[in-house]
Amino acid sequence: MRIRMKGIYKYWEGEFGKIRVLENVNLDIADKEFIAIMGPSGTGKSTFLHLLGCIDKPNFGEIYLDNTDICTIPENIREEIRLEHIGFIFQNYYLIPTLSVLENVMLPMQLANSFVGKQEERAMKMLELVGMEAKWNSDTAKLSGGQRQRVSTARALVNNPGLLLADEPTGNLDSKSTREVMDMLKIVNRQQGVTTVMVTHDSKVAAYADKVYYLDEGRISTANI
Amino acid sequence: MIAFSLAKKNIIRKQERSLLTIIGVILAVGSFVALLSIAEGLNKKLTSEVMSKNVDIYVTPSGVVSLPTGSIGALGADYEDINLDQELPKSPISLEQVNNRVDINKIKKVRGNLIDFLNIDEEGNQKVPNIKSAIGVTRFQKKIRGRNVVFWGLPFGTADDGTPLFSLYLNGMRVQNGVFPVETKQYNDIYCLEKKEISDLSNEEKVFISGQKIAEELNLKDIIDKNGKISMKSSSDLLLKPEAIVSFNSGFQDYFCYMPIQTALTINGSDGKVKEIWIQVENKSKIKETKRLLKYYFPNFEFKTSEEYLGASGEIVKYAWFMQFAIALIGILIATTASMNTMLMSTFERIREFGALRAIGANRSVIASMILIESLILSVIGGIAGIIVGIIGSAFLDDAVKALFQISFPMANITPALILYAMLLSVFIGIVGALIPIIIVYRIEIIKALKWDM
Repeated sequence: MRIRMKGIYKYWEGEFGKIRVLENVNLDIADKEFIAIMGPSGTGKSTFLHLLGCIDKPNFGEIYLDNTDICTIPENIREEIRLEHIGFIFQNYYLIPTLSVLENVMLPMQLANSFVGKQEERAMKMLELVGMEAKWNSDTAKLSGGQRQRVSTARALVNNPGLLLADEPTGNLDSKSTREVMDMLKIVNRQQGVTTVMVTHDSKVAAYADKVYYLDEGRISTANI
Repeated sequence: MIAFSLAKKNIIRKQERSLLTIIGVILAVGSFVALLSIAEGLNKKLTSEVMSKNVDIYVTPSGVVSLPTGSIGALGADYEDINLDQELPKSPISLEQVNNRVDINKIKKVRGNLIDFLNIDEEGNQKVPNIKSAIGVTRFQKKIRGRNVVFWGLPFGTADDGTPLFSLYLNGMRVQNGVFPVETKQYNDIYCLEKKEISDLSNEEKVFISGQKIAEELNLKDIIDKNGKISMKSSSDLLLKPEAIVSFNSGFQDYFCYMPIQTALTINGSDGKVKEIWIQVENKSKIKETKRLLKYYFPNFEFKTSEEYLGASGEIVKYAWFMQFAIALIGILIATTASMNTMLMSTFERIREFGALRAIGANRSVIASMILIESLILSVIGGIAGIIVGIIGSAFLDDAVKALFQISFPMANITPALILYAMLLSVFIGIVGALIPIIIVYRIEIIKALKWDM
């Protein structure tokens, strides 16, 4: 999925007036590209990701996913895009605690009504991809952080999205798990051809990406790492 | 489907909280069913009672709102006896003549006297046409074998065809050819303690006929010997000699005892006075006109058709219903608040989860459905259990009401309508409980939900 961001401005309404988060962000991300956005805390990295993921809207500007301007389309279409074309990986995993590993991975398919009749098979395939097939029936609360992030990745990929958004995917992981997860994301990007946008503050993690951008005081620039 | 699955799993995950919500609903629905079963039962029995009687016009003193159950404490105030001696018709008829005609002490002729009283003026002309027959009745309560029993005093004379007179009014009484059933085998649970025709019973005889249900409660069957004869020794503690047990299968009648009116008046001490007069008309289509004429001649009396009589009783029932509903409402409010609180707590705990679900593509309606289904599952389970608890509770409550108001018959009745209301109530609690959480998740933005901190 190709991404184009044109003149993006985003402000928050703060106690003492508007707080600038993103200012005139312009960015082109090629199809199947793996990019990382770096920057200190509170510089708008997550907001950047939320705008791409149809979770939030900019105050000004245009965001094209392929040829669709996601800023002007109705909310129900944005929901559809989120469900069918975007996969999200969160720092806190956000797995549904009442569901098993397999059920968590099946959830996006059930919501989208996709892969009907083959949902279980598809979910198992995704779990194999992230190396979690042996834990398919486990309670997610009993998994380690790295394992949960793998399950979260499988869930993000299960509807075959064109865009994978990862918000600090290794933020809660130790160095070993970080390596495992990043290797896995790299493989997924290569094998599945999913455009991947990752937000991190860790330069070692960012090094896995094809390109790294730096976000500071709302402006984006190519990073020197 | 996914919403149902998620809701179900969350209930299982939060078992303690789910159980507390269910208990809240059980208490609300249980108290609703138990309390309203009394009003429902009263309403059903009253309707059955009044409509099963073959009485077209009830005559009572003016301004009286009565229940056909007689004096039952707070549920139906008793009223002064009708003193026929003091009634002065508007037509030019002397008091002496009236007194002669309403000599209720000559109870054997009560039917004729009453018809004369209502129907014939001093010249022998018919005042109020369309009256077929009329009887004076009375009632009182006596404690027998630890139970308060309502006795009706009715004329035990026979109609022209030999049918017991009062059985013409008490529709549904199983009487064959003017004779009370005598064979136990033939009529199963209905039998006469002594083989005797009802027409043989005079109005002065110190006997009574018992309704089947009260007979069971008084253990009247125990006093029958092998030959079907009454054992007087065993029945010495009874007020009078039981003559027969009859079944009506309707209303309260199976819980009453019946005795000759003269006997009743003697026991009750209301010599010459009856509580009500029951009238049958020839032509039911002219009942309003008949009633108007009766009111003209006897302005101090109240004349009510069956429907009006039931309507007047219905006012009392309605009042009882609202009183009981008001009490049940306390439970309902507690349950609704508990349910809402549980759902709110559950929602606030899962705001981030909902945010994540929204982020991966679930729309608002899926999450709203999830909350609603969860709340409904809990409230419906609570509702079903509450109905069972209510049914059990109504039996206890019935005993308490019987003891408190000195009533001889059961009042509680679990009707299909009451169960339906109870189920609707549980659904209502479920919907109301889910309402605020749904509004919250509908309004919250995904980003705020994802950053939510309890």
